[in-house]
Amino acid sequence: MSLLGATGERRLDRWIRITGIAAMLLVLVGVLMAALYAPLLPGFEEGGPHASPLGQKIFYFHVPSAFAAYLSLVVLATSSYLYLGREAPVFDAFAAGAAEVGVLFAGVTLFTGSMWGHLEWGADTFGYWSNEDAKLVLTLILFIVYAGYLVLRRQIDDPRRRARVTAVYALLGFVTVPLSYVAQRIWQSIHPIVFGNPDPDAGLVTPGVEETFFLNLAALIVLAVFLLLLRFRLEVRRRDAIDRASGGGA
Amino acid sequence: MSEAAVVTLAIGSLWTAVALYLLWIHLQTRSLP
Repeated sequence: MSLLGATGERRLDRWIRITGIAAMLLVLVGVLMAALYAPLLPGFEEGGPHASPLGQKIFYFHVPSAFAAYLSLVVLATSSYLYLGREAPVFDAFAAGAAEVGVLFAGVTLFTGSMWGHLEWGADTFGYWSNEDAKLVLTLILFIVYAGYLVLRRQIDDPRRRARVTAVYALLGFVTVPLSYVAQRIWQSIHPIVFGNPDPDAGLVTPGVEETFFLNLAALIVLAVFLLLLRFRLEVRRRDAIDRASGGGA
Repeated sequence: MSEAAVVTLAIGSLWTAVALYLLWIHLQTRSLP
């Protein structure tokens, strides 16, 4: 018997189709808006805040990537918590994929940030890095913690033990998610406070920037949900195949 | 490296990572018995 049952599989297939089509359309519109609609912000020569007006376009993908990573890791923590409470394999199957999607988007966030920083803040070598920036350090720790989660999953053969140990690890590691998000509000960081900044001149104030940002945020959130569901289906089918091969029931 | 090349590399890294992950899921799904 399948982990989800025939009805559950049909429902999952339908949501994969819906989120896949929605993600494709939103990503297409988001890329076009970032390239053609969003204005080039004034550079230093025009008295603006940016060393690289073109480099600022990375913002439309860098910050949404971080939010997509945070979302995936919230899903991972929730699945892990539910697994520990109910011991249902379906929650562990969801957690396995959520960690991968979280690590993927966290890696993209670090790389795009390094490239944007290279253009904006300068760097002697290729790519920007600073050990004094709490946001960078905490996001790197987050990435390493969840990359470690993926390694840990591959080291434990017994499925129930693997599910329990990794669920506890995921919940302990989750402390890095809120810390990474609030880092620049508490500690030293070159990152600006974009959301909830009391300064009326801070944040997304230039016409064209706000709608482009939120469209791309929606695009990457829907894309992350699509990847989570697609990866979940793979995990379900893999477990069903193992179950069939061993001749057991679900 | 020019400004435009760095921007392309940065934004391209996102779509490349997503495309490779989709390809990996596809190949894994196909290899299931």
